[in-house]
Amino acid sequence: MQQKKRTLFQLLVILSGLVMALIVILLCSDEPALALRYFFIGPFSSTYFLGDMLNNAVPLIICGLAASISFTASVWNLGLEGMVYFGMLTGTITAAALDGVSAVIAIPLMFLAAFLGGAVLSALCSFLYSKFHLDIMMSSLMLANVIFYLVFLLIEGPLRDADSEQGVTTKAIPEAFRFGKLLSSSDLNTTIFIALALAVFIYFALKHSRLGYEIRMTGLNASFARYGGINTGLIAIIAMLISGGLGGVGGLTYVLGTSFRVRNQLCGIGWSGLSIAMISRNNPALVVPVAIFFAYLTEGAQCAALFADITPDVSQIIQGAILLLVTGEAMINFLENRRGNRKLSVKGVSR
Amino acid sequence: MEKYLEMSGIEKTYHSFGREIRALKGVDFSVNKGSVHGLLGENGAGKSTLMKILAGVEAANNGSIKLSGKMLHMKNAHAASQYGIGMVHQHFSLLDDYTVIQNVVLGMEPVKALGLLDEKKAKQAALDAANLCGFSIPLDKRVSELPMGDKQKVEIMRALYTKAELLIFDEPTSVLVEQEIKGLLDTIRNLKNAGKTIVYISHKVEEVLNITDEVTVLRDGEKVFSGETNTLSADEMVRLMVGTSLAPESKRDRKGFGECVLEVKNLKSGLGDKLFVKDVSLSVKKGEILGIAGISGNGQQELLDALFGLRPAKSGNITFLKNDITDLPPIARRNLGIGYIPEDRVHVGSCAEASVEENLLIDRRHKAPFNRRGWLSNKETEKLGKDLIKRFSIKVADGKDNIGGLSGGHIQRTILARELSCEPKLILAAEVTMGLDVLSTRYIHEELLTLRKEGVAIILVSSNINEILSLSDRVAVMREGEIVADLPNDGSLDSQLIGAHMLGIQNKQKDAVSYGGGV
Repeated sequence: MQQKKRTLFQLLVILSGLVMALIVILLCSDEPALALRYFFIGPFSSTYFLGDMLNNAVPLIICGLAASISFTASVWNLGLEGMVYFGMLTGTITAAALDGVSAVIAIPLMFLAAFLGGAVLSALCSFLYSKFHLDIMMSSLMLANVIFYLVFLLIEGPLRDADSEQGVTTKAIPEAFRFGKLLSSSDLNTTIFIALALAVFIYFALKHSRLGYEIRMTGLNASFARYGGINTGLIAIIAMLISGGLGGVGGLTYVLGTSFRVRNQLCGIGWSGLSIAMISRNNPALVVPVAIFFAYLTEGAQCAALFADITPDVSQIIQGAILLLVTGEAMINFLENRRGNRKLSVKGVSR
Repeated sequence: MEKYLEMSGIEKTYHSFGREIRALKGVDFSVNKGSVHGLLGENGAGKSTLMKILAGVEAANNGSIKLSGKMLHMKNAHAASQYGIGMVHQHFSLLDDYTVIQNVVLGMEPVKALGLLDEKKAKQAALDAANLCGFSIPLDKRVSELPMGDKQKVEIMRALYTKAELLIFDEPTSVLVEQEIKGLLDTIRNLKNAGKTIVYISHKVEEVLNITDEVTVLRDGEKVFSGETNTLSADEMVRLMVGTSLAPESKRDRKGFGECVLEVKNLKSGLGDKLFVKDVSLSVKKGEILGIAGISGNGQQELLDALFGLRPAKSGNITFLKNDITDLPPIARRNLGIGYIPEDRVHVGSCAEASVEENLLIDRRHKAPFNRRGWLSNKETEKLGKDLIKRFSIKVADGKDNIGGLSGGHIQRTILARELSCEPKLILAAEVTMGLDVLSTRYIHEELLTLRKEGVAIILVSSNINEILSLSDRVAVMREGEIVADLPNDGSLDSQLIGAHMLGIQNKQKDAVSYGGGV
């Protein structure tokens, strides 16, 4: 399929996802006109919603980048959600421990701790792979599940803030370490610059750095990379470490911008990151708009739930349906690409 | 003689990555009943496309096909086989785990009540097909246990079983050794005597001269000649195919060789308990080409992989210019000056989805001036691409285009460009011209001879005996993971002798002689 046709097709799929949202709302709502208005226009109706939407996009961008890096190396890091959650915790604990220290020192340490938290899990999966040939897709997915309960245990036990008014949570991040707000009343803060800078940096690094080149070649054709002298095992591990580490950083930005503490429930940004990477075909330049689109859906659903008679559950259905369609489309492309390449290789030998 | 098959005005256009490729530009092709008709052309000339249209595998955009004066409507491959058209594919379409009989009847099995396979009838059918062309072949053996030549016989039997009157052979000798080729040509004569009509696709002029009655030559999707074979000489055929006349291939000059570049002692390599390389010792000197002949799959590829560090050595050692490199990874061997042109140029030698520039960069990505503190220089990469594309005449519009869109010959040129441009001292080369057209083959041979002149040591693995004989200074034969012969190529060697070593006939004779002589 030609590039133009494909882009058109992709837009059509996103559109049909939105049509699906329309149908669900029409079926479930007694005042569909109102619900539709808030769902589609709500996120743009005030600086509060707009700011919230962009703020939601921050961790999604970073997690999308995290997934893109591992996917580019053809390492299927399905445990990203676990790394996000663990990095969130290590970053938050560090913040609590450094209470009173100057922010200039504390904030880099917080991010470092979050990165290491995610990377440790990646390292564990890589170790299991190189030692026992355990598939990273499986080990990371399962490890994530173990980590959820481990973190729950810590939050409900030794790390629990007894004075918290927000249910079972850790201690909140000290006020001094919170990032400056950008749009008053909304949660949008300066972490969005971190996300955008990372997107730009990773875009160029994948394209123009030696490591990026090695990651791409390993992912595109590992036999070729090995033959060319790349230590593909090492590159896969590095990609996995960066992916997990960035996941942790993404988790910390969620704490810094939205929750300010770690709750005993999952936020799903790791999973969204995987979908975002898939839809944007691992292209960091596309990760940003796709992540914002995801945030738009979430924000729209929240608006509609707040001002109309749509329950948040319905909003989840709508999101799920759109996600399914969009991911399905990405999957078709993925398979088609692979088939196309096979055809191509046959052609390379003889026609 | 009556016209049996008439294809007229056949057009076919492919669309690929937004580009139009006109594979066939209104080709007429007709074949007389009971004749052997050669279809000659370079790779990409449209031979295979034309035959795929005839076999119902692809649909033509335009044109008509008549068989015995009757218009054919080719919906799919099944329709073609009902019209009595059978194809013997270049890459066999057999099920390895099935027996010969099962493969022959597959798709049109004779059945008893309840839909069970009628084994008696199946066996008889396979036997009939074998008898028709005089094959003696173990019918109950699994196909995976058969040599290439016998697998091809099974393909032919399949076509005969479907009552094919017109048989298409697609580059049938490309997978066979010398002795097997003789058998195939006999088979084709037998089939002709049995009244079958045969289309023989090839880009090898000698074969076409040898076996066919008539010949059609295609070039760039157009018919450039059609007529009786004996009206053309070999040179004229090549000229028709290529479009220009070729300068004669340069001869390997005789000369002395320099110091020993590579020395391998008792090398063993394999997977688990299975050894692919069993106790191989060899050496190659500066400016020397060591040809390694053998039927493909006898450990040649594994040997080169082990020499390049892509496979670990189980035991033994490899010395390169006095360095022990037995345990070094590929990158260290590359840095020392070893280049490798692997057999699988599409999956190992190149990365289809990466650009030509990126494909050229891989062995020097870590070196100056390409690598500057971890960042790759765009300018230098572009310059590298431009230089090598020009120097090796790689046909590509832009160095940023994906290599996967290139023809096989130009993919191979790109690989050659990369491996030869880093001042190698040893080149490992496997099946460098397999499947390539006359021009590309000639080009690659010339490049290898130039390297030899410059004092590079070359190990050349090929299943094409003639290639080995014309290029090598010394010929080793590999069979079942061992070097069974290592002979100087001083004019005493011929394809018969090498072929016998490849098949293991020579060894038995030698044993018999030595026992008889009481040695």
